[in-house]
Amino acid sequence: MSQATEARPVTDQATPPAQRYADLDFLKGVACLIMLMAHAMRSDIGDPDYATKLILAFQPWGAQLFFFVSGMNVVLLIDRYGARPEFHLTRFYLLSCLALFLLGNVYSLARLSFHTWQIFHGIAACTAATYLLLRRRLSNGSLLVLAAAAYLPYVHFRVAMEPVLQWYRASLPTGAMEGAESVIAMQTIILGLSSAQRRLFTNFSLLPWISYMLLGVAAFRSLRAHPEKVWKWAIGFAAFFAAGIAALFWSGGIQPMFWHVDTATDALLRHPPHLAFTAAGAAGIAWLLARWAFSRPTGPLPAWRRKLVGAIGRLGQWSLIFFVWHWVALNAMEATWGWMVKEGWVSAQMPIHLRWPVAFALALPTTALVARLGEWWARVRWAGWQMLIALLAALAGTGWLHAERQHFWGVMTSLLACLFAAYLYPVFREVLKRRYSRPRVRGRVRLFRRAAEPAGESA
Amino acid sequence: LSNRQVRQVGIFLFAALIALGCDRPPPPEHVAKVPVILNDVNAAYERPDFAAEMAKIENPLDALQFAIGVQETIARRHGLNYAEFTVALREAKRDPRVTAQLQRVKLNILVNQKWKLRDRELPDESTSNVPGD
Repeated sequence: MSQATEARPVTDQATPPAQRYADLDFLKGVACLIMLMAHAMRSDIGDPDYATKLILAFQPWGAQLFFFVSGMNVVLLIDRYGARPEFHLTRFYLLSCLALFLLGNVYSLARLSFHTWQIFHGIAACTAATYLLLRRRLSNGSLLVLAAAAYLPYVHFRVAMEPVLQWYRASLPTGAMEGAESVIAMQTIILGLSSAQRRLFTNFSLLPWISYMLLGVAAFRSLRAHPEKVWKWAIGFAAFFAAGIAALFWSGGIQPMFWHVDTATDALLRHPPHLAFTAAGAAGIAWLLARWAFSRPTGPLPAWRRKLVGAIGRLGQWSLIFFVWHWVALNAMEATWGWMVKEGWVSAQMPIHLRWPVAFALALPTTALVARLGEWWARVRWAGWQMLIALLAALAGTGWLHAERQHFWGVMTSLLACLFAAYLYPVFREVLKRRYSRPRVRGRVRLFRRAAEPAGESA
Repeated sequence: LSNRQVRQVGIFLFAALIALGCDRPPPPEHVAKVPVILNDVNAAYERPDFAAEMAKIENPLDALQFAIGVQETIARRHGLNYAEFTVALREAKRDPRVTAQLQRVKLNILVNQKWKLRDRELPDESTSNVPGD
């Protein structure tokens, strides 16, 4: 069984203490670390050597792991609140997802991309859809069938797009993922697709991503009810991984090459079978290993290992803030390097294996500080309103800076707005939680009760 | 599952990645055909009927797919399918002469696409990262 740990203080009587699963937080933290490494390396991959290609080949699994684990949180939420008749879980959860989706538009502004869903949209849409499916009391087998059914239309679409991706793979400057030509290529694809196709198939869209989530949910529920099935799942995930490797040899439409994904257009449509199946298999195996490692009785661990595991787990808990803040760190790193190039201190290209350690050193300690700041702010009176005003002020500043052609500072200010949005989201969730924890009594009944209450008790 | 077994599984998966995860180089005879194919593609793109067909297509992605269809036909005439051609092209563009031909292909597509992007021109740095450039 997974180890549950106490994480946050009780805020009110309606909310029982939150139980956090340390293995799930740890895996989310690992996914965040992979994403940070990927974003740091992929601003310009260049023509990588063999070892670098291998490192890059692991990176597409990061976000998939995050989605795989996020579905398990939906199961835990339903376990925690589903049986409480006074709590309106569906309204609370769907409104929370809607809030996250709307706040995700601030992130789209920071990423200068409104035509395709970004990670916040993807998480909100997929968790909302997963929640609705789980409320239908579907069996684990049905969830697996739905996961496969959600992937099939994607494969059909991906095969149809493959010649375009092959052209860009061959014709774009090698490894220059954020170059001007890559931007034109992305715009050609995004503006050429219909609105529905963009939201169903590109970037953090609904269809392929929900498959990872449903797979995670089915595995999690199955092993909680029947822990003895662990070997069946292990074999299943290994089979997924093996199927992904086998797909490398499948020449039925999709080029089984360039597994390290070095073009932006491939990153936009990143679920060909060889990547999707290896990602699902790797996420499942990673989860089983983490589950096993966190549940087995161990002697006293060395202090550095305990601290490391704890720090990665906390990063997982702060993932929303991390998604925003790591871009601030990366932009600052790129700008500082650009300034040093101008001064003639360094060469124009920042070495790829310098980029990610520097990004780790900049982003990880500061994420902790920024997350703690958010936790402190959330305890201040009227915190939600303050955060909302700060968010609106940062958005206004973003508009003004872009109008003044100060694009770098415009992007940085929009990331600040995203950070306020990430602070605001849990505060808003708490408000919703309180709102939907109250017993809902209507019209005449409420009037009757008020009339019946003694004067002193109504206060 | 013991620690040792977990490590062994990890090492096996890693070895599988090493063996299979990286791209395999195309055969040299495919690479040798690339300049000829690109030459024919440019000739086809510079004919008036290509421009006339492209002018009828509003959607930039549909226009690109039409242009890719022309490349596919020419590559097949030289005995390569499109996947083989693009893999060989990726390798062949290490040669600056091929890069120049490829640049002309890209420009021929861009100028014939009917779209409303701000940056219609091919940017100057478009080939700056091509190895050997």
